[in-house]
Amino acid sequence: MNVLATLKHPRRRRTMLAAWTMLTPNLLGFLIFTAGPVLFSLVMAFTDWNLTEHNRRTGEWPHFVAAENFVRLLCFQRNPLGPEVPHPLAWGLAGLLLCAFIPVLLYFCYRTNRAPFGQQNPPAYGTVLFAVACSCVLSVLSSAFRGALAAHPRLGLEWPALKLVAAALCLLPGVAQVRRLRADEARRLGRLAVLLTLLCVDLAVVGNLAGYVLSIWQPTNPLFFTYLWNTIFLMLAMPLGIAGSLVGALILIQRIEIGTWTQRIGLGVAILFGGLCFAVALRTVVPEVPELAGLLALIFVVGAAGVVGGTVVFRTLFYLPSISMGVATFILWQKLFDPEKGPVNAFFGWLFDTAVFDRVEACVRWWVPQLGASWHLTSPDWLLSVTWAKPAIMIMGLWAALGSNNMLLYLAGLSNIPQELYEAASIDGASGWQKFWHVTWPQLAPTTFFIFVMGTIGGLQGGFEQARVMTNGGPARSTTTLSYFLYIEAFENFDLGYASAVAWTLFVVIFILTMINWRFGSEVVSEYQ
Amino acid sequence: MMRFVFLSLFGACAALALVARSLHQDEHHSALIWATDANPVRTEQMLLFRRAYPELDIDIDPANSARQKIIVQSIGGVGPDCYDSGGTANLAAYVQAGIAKNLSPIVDLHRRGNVSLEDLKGDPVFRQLFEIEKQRREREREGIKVPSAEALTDLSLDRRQLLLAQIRRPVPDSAFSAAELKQLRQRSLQRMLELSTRLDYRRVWPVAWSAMIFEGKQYAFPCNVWMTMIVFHKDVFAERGVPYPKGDWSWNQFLTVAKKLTYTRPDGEKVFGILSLDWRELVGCWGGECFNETATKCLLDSPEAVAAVQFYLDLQYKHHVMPTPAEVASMSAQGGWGGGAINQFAAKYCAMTRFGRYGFINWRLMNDQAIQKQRESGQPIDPPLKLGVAPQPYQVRKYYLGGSRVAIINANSPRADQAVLFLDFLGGKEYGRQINWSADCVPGPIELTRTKAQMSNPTYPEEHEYDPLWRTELDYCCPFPFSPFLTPFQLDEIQRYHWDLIYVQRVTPQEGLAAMAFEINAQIEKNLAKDPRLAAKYHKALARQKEIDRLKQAGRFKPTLREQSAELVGLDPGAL
Repeated sequence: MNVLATLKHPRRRRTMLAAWTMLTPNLLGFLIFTAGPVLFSLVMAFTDWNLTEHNRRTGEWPHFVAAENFVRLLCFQRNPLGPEVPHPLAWGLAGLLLCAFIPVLLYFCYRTNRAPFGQQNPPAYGTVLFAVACSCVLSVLSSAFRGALAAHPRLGLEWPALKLVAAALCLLPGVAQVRRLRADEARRLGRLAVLLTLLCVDLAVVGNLAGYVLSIWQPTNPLFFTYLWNTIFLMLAMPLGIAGSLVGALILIQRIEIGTWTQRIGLGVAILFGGLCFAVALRTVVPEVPELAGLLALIFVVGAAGVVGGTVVFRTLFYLPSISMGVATFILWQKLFDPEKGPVNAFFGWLFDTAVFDRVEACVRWWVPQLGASWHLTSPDWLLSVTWAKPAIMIMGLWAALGSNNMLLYLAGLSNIPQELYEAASIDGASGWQKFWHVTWPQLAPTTFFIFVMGTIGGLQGGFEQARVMTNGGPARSTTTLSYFLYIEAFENFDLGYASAVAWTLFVVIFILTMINWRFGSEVVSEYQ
Repeated sequence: MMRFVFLSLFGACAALALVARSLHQDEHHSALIWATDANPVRTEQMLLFRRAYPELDIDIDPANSARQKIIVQSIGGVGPDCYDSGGTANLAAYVQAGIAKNLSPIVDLHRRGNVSLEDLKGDPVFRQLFEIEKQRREREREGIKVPSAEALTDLSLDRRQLLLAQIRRPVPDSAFSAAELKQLRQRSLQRMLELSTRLDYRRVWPVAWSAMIFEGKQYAFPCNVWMTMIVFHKDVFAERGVPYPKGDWSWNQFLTVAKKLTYTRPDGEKVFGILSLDWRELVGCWGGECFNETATKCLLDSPEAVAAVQFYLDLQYKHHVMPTPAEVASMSAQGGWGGGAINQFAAKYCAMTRFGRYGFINWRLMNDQAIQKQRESGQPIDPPLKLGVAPQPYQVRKYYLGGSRVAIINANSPRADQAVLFLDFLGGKEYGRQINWSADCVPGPIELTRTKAQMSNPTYPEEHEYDPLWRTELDYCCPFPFSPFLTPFQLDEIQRYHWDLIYVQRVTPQEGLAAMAFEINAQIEKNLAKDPRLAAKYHKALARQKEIDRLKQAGRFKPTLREQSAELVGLDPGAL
């Protein structure tokens, strides 16, 4: 009705027309280039469209195949070479149920752990100790179940005995704490203990049975799960990145002002000169790794620049990696990770040759005699190694993430914390750590929440550039992520229908994870606030 | 106010769009677009084509020569007129996408016999040839002399455009008498039959057939045919006191030589005996096969294949005559045409390398540049690269893997008829001589590699001793193994995965090859389950395999390379 009234009025009509004229190009662009292709890909996901078979040149149309692409991607099928078992479906369902219990138990642990009003939360370290104790006990039970109890070759003691001793040591502090709790708190802790135990049992059973069940039922596309695992693995560095950004922000929020301009310049020159001397000295002491001297010189140069320019210099330098990430940077890191001539392995080679590491190697050889007398620590092959390719990419990502937009968000968040809270904490006699844990961290909860959500979304979508430029998805598919898999299916195999199904599956995974983040994260944030 | 700003901006954009439209090239005289690589010799090849057909023009497009771009652009209607392809993988993709022109009707023309003008009435290629004949006759009448293609580049832009406009002007039939038209048509018919003969796959090396022929139909013609041999530094051999390899040699002899050539230079740089090899060639040399004769089963888990791969790994990890993956990665990885291996070999990181004849394009350039500098500075002339060529070693048999870079015509190109003339040019003597003399491998037609005059460039006498090898060893050259029951991408992906694990010694050759063969065979089963037509073809092939096995047991199955190649690409070996 308001719209009709607006249309009747000539001036308002003109204003509305002007508004729609301004908005139409953007709306059209969104419909044609964003919404349209997204909807089209949704339709494609339910067809068997292959560009080389179905195009206007061949005259063939794609066919509607319902959810066949999704079945091909996500389902499991009977392994024809697997063991013959009487009820394979029962095994499959059992495996599914056991896996489904894990998130359910995690949810109930979370709910139980949140103390109702008037009760105190059990300390985190107590929960961790209890979990460690449970794991030790269950590991012993699991070994006994498999008939795999063995003695340590050096100590002569049974491994299970060692684990039971460790479990007892972990439980002792917990027992002392329980005696100080009220009855209702103790009951809640008991429930939490039972849930944690069930969770550990479930994880242990899943761990032991997974191989057997997977030999009966195999995924129709095992590569999808391999690439999903690669994607999740690469995201494991995310908490480190967030923590690093926070530490960087905490340092860079401080203002650096040392005297007058002339004093700063003089100090900067002195630092530069001193640094060069140190670098030359280091080059003489460690000639095998010339890059170390260069690195030290660089640190002193940065220090000198910081002294002269103040915080702005450091903020700029920290932020530079995140805006310079691109193909050139990937190639640079490839050279850094060069197994033969790269500076990273040159450093590790020098380090492993030192007397300290000789002792470490000797200890490890004594403790694990199976390694043999000639075993010694060697630098990894990084991007050429199936094991180390992903960690190499994670290190590169961490380097860029430390000073990225996350740091800027934290800087903004830190500057919004009221100083009265710190003053009140000082009056109450809080130490630096206590101020951080009880004032800074809770006040930054919304920022952390936002960073975590965006990091999860970005992490699940990422990994394509690194795979394409540095490793081509190898070695042996170890760095192929879901986004790279999507690219291969769409633009190398031209299986557009299947690739669309992969894209929409990735969307659903990201959506579910974001919803979980939102559901539980916003509760935590509002608690802190 | 803002309204005027936006309207003005819109008007300016519209005006710019009109200007861009007016600069659009005239389609009547547009050049053929050839999507190929940025090989330095393409300039000369284009000049030769313009000289052979001054009525046409050609230009290369190296930025859009990747398979994905060709398929997407051609389907979208903006693809090149002709494009390079290598191997069965790409050919299958282009044919299935409907963007590869079937040349079999043109090729079969000369075999039909009694071809008349009536048969070619609507044929666009014949019409194009007829048009060219008319233009040539008209030019003769008007006394217009066609300068050579090289001379055309020296003329001023205006004069060149004027001349080309006169050369490439369409001529109506009314400009000729009936008798002249009849004569021109007869000449065009004659040219058509010659073209048909020149494009016939039977005059081409069999190793190229898998890149040209798909399911019995010809879709391409070779730009060149390549294989690899052992190229070595003569000065490194002399320095180490090792005689040059001559004639056939075994892999054990090769290993002895490679050990003597592996040393550390005074500057600390390690020189390897051999830079790189292809494990699949070693499998063949040991008597192993990737697939059986009908490609219904993968045989890479055979003891011969395992022994070959173990020898390959021993070269790296036991004898250290070949760089390990880590050592390869640490070498220079400069890009550009040909990649890092050419530069790594030229920098003498290794005494020998396995490479194709096309490596000499860059190595000659390096020598020429160095000699030029020596002349300018008055130094004695001493080319830095003194190279020799030897056949690849054998074990149980001689086995090479090779292929062909072929040109395919875009089936939807508006200039497909002109592109056929380009393929005709590729089969001609002038292009063949250029390929041979520029060392861009060898030309497709076998008869263009018979004599020394054809093969050897007089400017490079130091290569004459080895030029015949590039021809004689082609008799042992097979195409890269493939199976019609697997997409080439599936085969490549599975092989790459398992080879990565073997190459970094994560698994033993036995485990890795067994897993590779298992996964390849499992993938074949999956493909058959998805496609009933493929399953029917598979069962037919299985029946043929049984027959072959029976003949082999009786000792009566000894096909030639030509017959094997024909069977692989769906041709009847009896019809060769």
